[in-house]
Amino acid sequence: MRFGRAGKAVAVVLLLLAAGVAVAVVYTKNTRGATTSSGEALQAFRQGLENERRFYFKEARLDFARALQLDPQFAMAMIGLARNSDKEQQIALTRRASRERDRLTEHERLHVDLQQAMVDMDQKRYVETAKKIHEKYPNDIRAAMVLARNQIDTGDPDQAFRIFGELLAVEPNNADAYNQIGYYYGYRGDYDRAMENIKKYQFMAPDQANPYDSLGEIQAYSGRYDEAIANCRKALALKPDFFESFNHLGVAYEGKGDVAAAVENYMRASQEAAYETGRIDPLMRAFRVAIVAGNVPLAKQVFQRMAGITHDKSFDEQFEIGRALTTAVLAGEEGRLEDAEKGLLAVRPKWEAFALKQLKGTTRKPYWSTWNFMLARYRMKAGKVDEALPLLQELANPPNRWSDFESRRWVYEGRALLAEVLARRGDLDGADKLLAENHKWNPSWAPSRTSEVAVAQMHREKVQAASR
Amino acid sequence: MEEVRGPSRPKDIPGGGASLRGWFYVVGFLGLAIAVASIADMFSSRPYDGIVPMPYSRTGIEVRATTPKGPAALAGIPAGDCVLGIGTHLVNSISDASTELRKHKVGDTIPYLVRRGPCPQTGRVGEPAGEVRKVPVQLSSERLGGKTYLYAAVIGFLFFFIGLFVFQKQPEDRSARIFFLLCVLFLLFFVCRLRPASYWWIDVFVQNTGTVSLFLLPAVFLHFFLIFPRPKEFRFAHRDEVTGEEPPRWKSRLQEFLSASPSLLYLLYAVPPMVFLYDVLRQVRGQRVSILSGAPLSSWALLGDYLILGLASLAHSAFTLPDARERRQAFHVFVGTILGTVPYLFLGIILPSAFNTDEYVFYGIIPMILIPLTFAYAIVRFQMLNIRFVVRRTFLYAITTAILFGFYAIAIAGANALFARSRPGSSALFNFGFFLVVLPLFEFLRRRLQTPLDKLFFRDKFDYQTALLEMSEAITGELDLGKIADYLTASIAGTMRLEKASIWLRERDGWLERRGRREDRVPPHAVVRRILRQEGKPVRVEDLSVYFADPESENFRTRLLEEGFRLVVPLAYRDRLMGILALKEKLSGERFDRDDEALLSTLANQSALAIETALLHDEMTRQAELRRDLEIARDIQTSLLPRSLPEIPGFSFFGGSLPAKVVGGDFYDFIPFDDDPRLGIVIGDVSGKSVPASLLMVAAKEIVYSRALTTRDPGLLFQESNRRIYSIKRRMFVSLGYFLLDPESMSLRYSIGGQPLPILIRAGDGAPTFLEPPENRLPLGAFREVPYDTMEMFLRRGDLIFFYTDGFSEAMNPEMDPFGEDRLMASLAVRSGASLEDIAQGILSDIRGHVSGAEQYDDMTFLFLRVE
Repeated sequence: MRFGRAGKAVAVVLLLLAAGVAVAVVYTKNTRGATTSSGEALQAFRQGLENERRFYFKEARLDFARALQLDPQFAMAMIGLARNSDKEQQIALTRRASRERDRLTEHERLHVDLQQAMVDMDQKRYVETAKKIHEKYPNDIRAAMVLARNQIDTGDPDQAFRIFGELLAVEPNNADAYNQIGYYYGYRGDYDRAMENIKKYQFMAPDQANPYDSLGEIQAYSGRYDEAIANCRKALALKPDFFESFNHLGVAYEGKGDVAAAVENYMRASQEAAYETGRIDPLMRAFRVAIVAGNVPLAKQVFQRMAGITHDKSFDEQFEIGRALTTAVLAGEEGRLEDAEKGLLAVRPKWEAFALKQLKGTTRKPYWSTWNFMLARYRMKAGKVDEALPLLQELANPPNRWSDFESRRWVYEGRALLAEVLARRGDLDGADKLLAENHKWNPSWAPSRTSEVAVAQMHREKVQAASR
Repeated sequence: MEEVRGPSRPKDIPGGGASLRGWFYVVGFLGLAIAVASIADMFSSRPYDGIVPMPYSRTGIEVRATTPKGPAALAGIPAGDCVLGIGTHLVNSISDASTELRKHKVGDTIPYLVRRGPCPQTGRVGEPAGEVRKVPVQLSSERLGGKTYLYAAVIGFLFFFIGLFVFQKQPEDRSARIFFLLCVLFLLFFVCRLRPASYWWIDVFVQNTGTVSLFLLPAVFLHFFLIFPRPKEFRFAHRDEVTGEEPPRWKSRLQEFLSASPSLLYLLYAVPPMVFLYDVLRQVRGQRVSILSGAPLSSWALLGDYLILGLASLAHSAFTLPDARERRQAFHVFVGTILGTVPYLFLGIILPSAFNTDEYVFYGIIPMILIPLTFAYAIVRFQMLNIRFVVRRTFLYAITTAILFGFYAIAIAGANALFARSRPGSSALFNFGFFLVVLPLFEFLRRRLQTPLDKLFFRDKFDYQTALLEMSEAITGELDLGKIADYLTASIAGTMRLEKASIWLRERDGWLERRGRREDRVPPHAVVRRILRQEGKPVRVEDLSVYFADPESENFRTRLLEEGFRLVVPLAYRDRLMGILALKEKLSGERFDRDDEALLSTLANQSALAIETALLHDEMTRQAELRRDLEIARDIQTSLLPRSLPEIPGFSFFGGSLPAKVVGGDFYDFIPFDDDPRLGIVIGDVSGKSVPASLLMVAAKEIVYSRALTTRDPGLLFQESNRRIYSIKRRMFVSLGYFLLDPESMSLRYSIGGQPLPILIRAGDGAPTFLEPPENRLPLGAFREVPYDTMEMFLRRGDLIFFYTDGFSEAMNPEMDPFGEDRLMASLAVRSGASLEDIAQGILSDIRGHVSGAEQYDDMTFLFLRVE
C-alpha cells in the first residue's frame, strides 16, 4: 500500500494529536491517589497510610489528623482518621467525607462508600463495594483485605488466597498481602507456609515492628512461645509502644502458662491502644486469663480497669453486655454458681439482639464462644455435666468456622474441655481424637493443660484397671 | 544407499548464493559483537552476588551455580537453592534481581531471602512451603567464572576466527559459509551460554542469545555435516533393470528430499525455533520448562539428536566417499567431533545434572578444543587453509596484545598515580580515554613486530618469503624469455615445494604459449585471459568456473584441474597479460594461504615487467637482425642489378629498380654471350620480399644464366629453369621475362613467365601496344612442368620497348585504385620522344601523382630499350 504525501502528512498530524492527547491524559490524571489542594496534607496523608500499613495506628491517627488540619476538605484523610477512631468520630468523619464526593476520583468515592457501609454496619454493601474496588483496582490492599476477610468469615479461605494472589499478580512486592496470607495459613494451622509468607513480609519491611510481631503471634499460637516472645520483643525494640506486640506477648505467656506475665502484657496492650474503645479487648483477654487460671483477685483488678474505660454512646450496648458477662463470671468464680448461670442466661438475649444487628447481611450465625465457655465452666462446676456438654460441643464445633486465632483458641479450649468430659465418661478415643486435632494447631496450650492432664489420667487409670 | 559424487548444487538455499555473502558477514559481526559485549561486561565493575541464575526463573532466582569464593558462596547460598528476595524486595525474575542490585554498590552487604531447594513451581498462593532464611551477602564486582569460563571463551573465539579465516578464504564456498556460521554459533555458545551470568540486562540478552545459539547450533552442525566435504546425495530410487520401470514417485521424492535438499535444510532449521517457541509458550502459560545445565532440556535433546544424525552422516561420508582425500577429511572431523563432544556431554551435562556439581565441567570443555582443531585441520590440510598461517597470526596478535597490555597497565598505573586526586582522574571516561589512545598503537606495533617475530619464530616461513622476494628481484634482470620461464617455474616449484609449476608466456604474435617440458601448446582461451587480466591476482582454478560460460574456457579449466593445477597467477603489466603461471598443489598438501598469494602477486608483477622487458628486448634484437638481413639483401639485390648498361651500337638502354620495402624481389639484368653478339635481357619478380626473396632471386638468376649459356631458345630456357626453380621451394615462384636481342637481325625473341607484357611503341605511329603475348605465361616455379612458348618480333629504328614489373601497373592510390596499364601506356606515349631517363622520371612522376603519397605497394623495376 502506498501513501501519498498528503496521506503521510495526515498520519503525522494524527500521531501528534494522539501523542498530545496521551500527554494531556497523563498530566490531567490525578496521579496523587488522593484529592487535596495541599501538598503538605498529601504528604501527611501518605505518611498516615504508611503508618497504618505498619500497624502504627497512633501515628497514623496523628498523620491523618494533621492532613485534615492542613486541608479541611481532604476526604481521604477523613476516611483514614475514621478508620482509626471511635465509632461516633467514625460516623462524623465519614459523613464529612461523603459531602466531598463530587470532588473525588472514582477510587476515592468507592473508599468513601466502603467506609460508609462499615459505619452503617451494612455488611452486604461493604463487601460489594470492596468487590467493586478490587475489580477496578486490583492492587488496592484494603479492598482485598475486606474481601479476603469476608471469604474467611464465610468459611472459604481458598477464595481469600485467590484474592491475594490476584493482588500479588499486579503488585508482587505488596508486603501487606504476604502478611495477610501468612495469617490465613496460620489460622489453618499451616505454619510452614505461614512462616514463609511472614518471612517474606519481614524481609520486605525489616525496619518495621509488625512483621516481627506477626511472626511472634503465629509462633505464639503454634506453641513456639519462646520464639514468639523473642520476636515480639524485637518488634517492641523497633517500636516500644507497639500495642499488638504486648497483646501477642500476652498470648505467648498465656500459652506458656505464665498468667501474671500474660495479664501484665494484655494490660499494657490496653494501655497502648490507639483509641479508647480499642483498650477493652486486651483487658477482656487479661480478664479471661485470670479467670481461667482461677486468679480472682487479678481478674477483679482487670475488671476494675475495664470499668474505668470511657466510651461513647454507640458502645453502650456492648459495654452493658460486657459488664453483665464479667459480673456473672466473677460471681461464678466466687462460688456463686447459680448467680453466675442466671447472670449468663440473662445477658444472652441482649447479646443475641446485638449480634443479629452485627451479623446483618452475613451468613454467620449468632454464636458467643465466651458465653458458651463460661456457662459450661460453671455448669460443670455445679456438676451439671450433661447441661454443659452441648455448650462444649458447640464450642468445639462452632456454627461459624473459626476465622482468626482468637476464635480458633476457643475451639481449642472447647475441644480440650469436651475431651476431658468424654474421657471422664469413658470415651477416651473420642477424647484423644479431639486432643489430637488440637495438637495439630498447638501441642501445648497452658489453659487447656488441665483438661489434657485429666485425659491422660483417665488413660492411666484405664491402663491400671486393665492391668489389675 | 549409495552416495554419489556430483557437481555442487546451486539450488541449496541456506548458505548458498553469492548475494548472501554479506549477510554471513553481518551474522558474524553480530555474533562477535555480542560475544565481545559479553566479555567486556564481565570486566565492568558492577555489584554482583556471585550467583549464576537458572534461566527462565519466574518464581525466584534459582541458583544454578555460584562463582567460587564469590559473595553467594561465602554467604552459604548453595547451588540449587532459590533466592526469593534481595535487599527489601522479593524477586521473581532475573530482571527483578537486576533492578534490585542496581540500587546497591560494590561492597554493600544486603540481605537475601533464600529458600532451601528449588523455587516454587508457579509462585502462586498455596504452593508447598519451603524453608526460608535471610542471608547477608556482601556484593563484589568479581564476576568471572574462573578458568572454566576463560577457557570456554578462548575456545569460542578460536572457533570464530578459524571460521572467519575459512570463510574469507572461500566466501563463495558453501561448506566454508556453513562452517563459519557454525563457528559463530559455537562462539555464542561458549561465550554466552557457558557464561557465569549475573542478572543484568546484558546478561539476560547474552544468555538468551546463548540459548538461541544452543537451539540453532545443532541445525547448523547437521547442515555442515550434510554438505561437508561435499553435499550428501543418496540414490536408492533406481529404475528396475529388468522391466525398465521408473521407481515409485514417493521413493524418488524421498531420495531428493534426503539429498541435502533445500526442503530438508529448511526443515532442519525450522525444528529448533519451533521447539524454542514451544518452551517459551510453556513459560508464558506458567508451565515449568525442564532445565539441564542451565539450558532447556529440549535444546540438549535437540543437540543430541542432530549430533547423532550429523555424525552418522559424517561417518557415512568417511567410509563411502570415492575420493580418498575427502574420506580422510571426513574421518578427521568425525573423530575430532566424537572426542570433543562426548567428554562434554558426560562431564558438562550429565554429571552436573545428576550430582549437581559443576566441578568437572572444565575437564569436559577441554576436549572440545579438538572440534575446531580437527575441523580446521581437515579443512586446512586438505582443502582450504594453512594452519601455520593461523598459528602465526595468533602468535603475533598474542605478542602484540601482551606488549600493549603491559604498556597500557604501566601507563594507566602511572596516569592514575599522577591524576589520582584530580577531577579527570576520577572520571569513568579516564580509562576509556586511555583505551582510545592505546587502540591505534595495535596495528602500528603489529606491523613492526611481524618481521622480527617471523625471523625469530617462523624462520622457515621467513626464509621462504625472502626466497620468493629474491626470486622476483632475480628475474627482473633477465632478458631471455625462455630463461625467465624456466627460472620461474623451477624456482617457484622448488621454493614453495610444489608438485609442479607451469607457465604460459606472451609471444610476439600476442598469443600465450605454454613453456616447459611438455609441448602441448594449449593456449588459454581469450575469456580466460581477459578474466585473469581483470582479476590481476592469483585465482584458484576451481573458482574460474564462476566466470565461464563458454565451453573452450571451461575445457581449459578442466584440463588444468585434471593435470592437478590449483592456482593460476596472472602475470600482467599495464593491463596487458604477459603470461599465466599455473601452480600445482604443495607437496605438503597445504593450501596456498594469503601470504603465498600476496607474495605470488608481487612475484607476478615483477615477472610481468621482466617479460615485457624481455619481449621488448627480443623485438629490438629481432628488428636489429632484420635490419642486418635487409642490408644483406640490399647488397645481394644491388649485386644482381647490372652495374652498367650494355653498349650495343644502335641500341640504348635505361633501367632501374625501386624496391617497396627497402629490399625487393625484382631484378633485371643483361646476359652477354662470349661468342655471340646477341644479348639476353632478363627481368623478374620473385614472390616474397627481403632476404629469402633476394636469395631466390639469386638462385633464379643463376639458373637462368646457366641455362642461357646452353640454349638460345627462351621458351626452352624457361622450361628447364622452371623445373629447377620448382625444386628449390614450392611455395615461392618467380615471374620472369627473358628477351634475346639480336642486334644483327634486329629481332627480339622472348618468352614470358608471369611477367607483364612489355609495352612497345613503334617508331612513327607512337601508339603503345603490348608485345604479342606467348600462349603460356605462367610464373616459373609454380608448377613442375610448364611448356613455355618462344615469341619473336623484329625491331625497327626508333622503336621503344618498356619492360616493367607489376609494381608499375598495380601502384595503388589510397582508394585502392591501381595505376593500371592504360595510364602507364598513356604516360609512356606522351613521353616516347624524350630521353629514356626523362621518360622514366615522367612515368614515375605520374605514378607518384596517382598514388598521392600512399606507401609503395610493390617493387617497381623497369628497363627501356630504344632502337636508335
